[in-house]
Amino acid sequence: MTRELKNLMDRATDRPDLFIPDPAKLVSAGRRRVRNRRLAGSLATLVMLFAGVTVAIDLQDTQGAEPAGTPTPSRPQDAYKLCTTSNGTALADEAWSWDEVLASTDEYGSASIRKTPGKEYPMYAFCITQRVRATSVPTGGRGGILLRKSPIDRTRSVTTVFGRAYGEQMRVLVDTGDRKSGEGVARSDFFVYRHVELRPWPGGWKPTATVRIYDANGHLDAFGKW
Amino acid sequence: MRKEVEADYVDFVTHQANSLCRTAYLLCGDWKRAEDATQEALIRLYRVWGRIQRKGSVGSYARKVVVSTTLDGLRRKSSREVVGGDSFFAAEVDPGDPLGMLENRLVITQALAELPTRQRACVVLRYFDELSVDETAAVLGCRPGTVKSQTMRALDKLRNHPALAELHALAGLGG
Repeated sequence: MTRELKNLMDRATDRPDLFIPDPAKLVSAGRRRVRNRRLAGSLATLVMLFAGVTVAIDLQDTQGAEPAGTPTPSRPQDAYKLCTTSNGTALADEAWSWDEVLASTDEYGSASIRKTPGKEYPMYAFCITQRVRATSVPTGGRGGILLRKSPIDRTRSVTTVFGRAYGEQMRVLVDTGDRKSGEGVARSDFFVYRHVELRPWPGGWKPTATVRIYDANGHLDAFGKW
Repeated sequence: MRKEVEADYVDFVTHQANSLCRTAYLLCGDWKRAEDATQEALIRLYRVWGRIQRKGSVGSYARKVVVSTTLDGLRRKSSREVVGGDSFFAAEVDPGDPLGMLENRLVITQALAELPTRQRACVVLRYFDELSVDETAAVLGCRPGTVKSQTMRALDKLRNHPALAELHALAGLGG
């Protein structure tokens, strides 16, 4: 019976023309899918990572939590310190002793990403320092991007943008909506970008950030908006 | 994907696409759909090619993807059907084609069409692709016991199918 069945099925599927699809088209379609999935995956991870940060930073700002009081960084422009984690916990002093993943420091303050040392699944802290505490701080994760504003004086402010950039030799270009874009510092799957704007903060305008992440070959790997 | 790995993928497509398409045809009974399902499966395969090649399970994984894309196609809503969809699996022996009758090319597709999807897949994988019970279970994502019982039920139905009974009679007459 089974031998007959096999013969019948063999005969039923016999046809003069072999089915051989164009491999070039399949490869091209496959590459496109890989690219799309990678892009979607990056954005989804970003959204998940910063979902908790949104809550944490909102809490921190509304409750007016005091900055961590550790000696680092200790310049006058680092007087106000603020760290939050990705799981929604507002951090105090201990975050400044965590391992630094990457940092960007300038004359107006600093931005850094830190992680708990020696853990298989570390907790990350997204920290900034600035001269004074801002009375109204736009903050939180939106579209997988964490944005913070720091006042400098009556005419200027600093925008800090944090995010994820998976892969080696990634280039992160950020546009904060003032017709100037710049390149962030990317390392260890994260990036941070600092930019001085000729606009005061708080002001009567809404901050924005558009992030484009390019891989080592110059191909667009991820795109996000705050 | 590295060039040499991609070359292996192209080689696989060139040599295996037709065989996978035949499996898909027996599952869905329509060459056009079988070709579409096979192409879709091969594109999906590209994404994981490096990983499955390292594992050495290219053949069985490819068959698994072809089966799932073909069966997914069968589950699609009628609103997504295209022109010609109604003729899907309505294959019947043309009484005006005695040669076809004798050849019985369509008898088996007709008989397979009447089996539930899972039973049909078991029969095709076990007796057309000649997979073992365990391999079939891996492809269908079920237990070997399920494959055995589904196959047994399917064979019972095929044994009692009138068209196949006629075939046995014809075969008997022809010696």
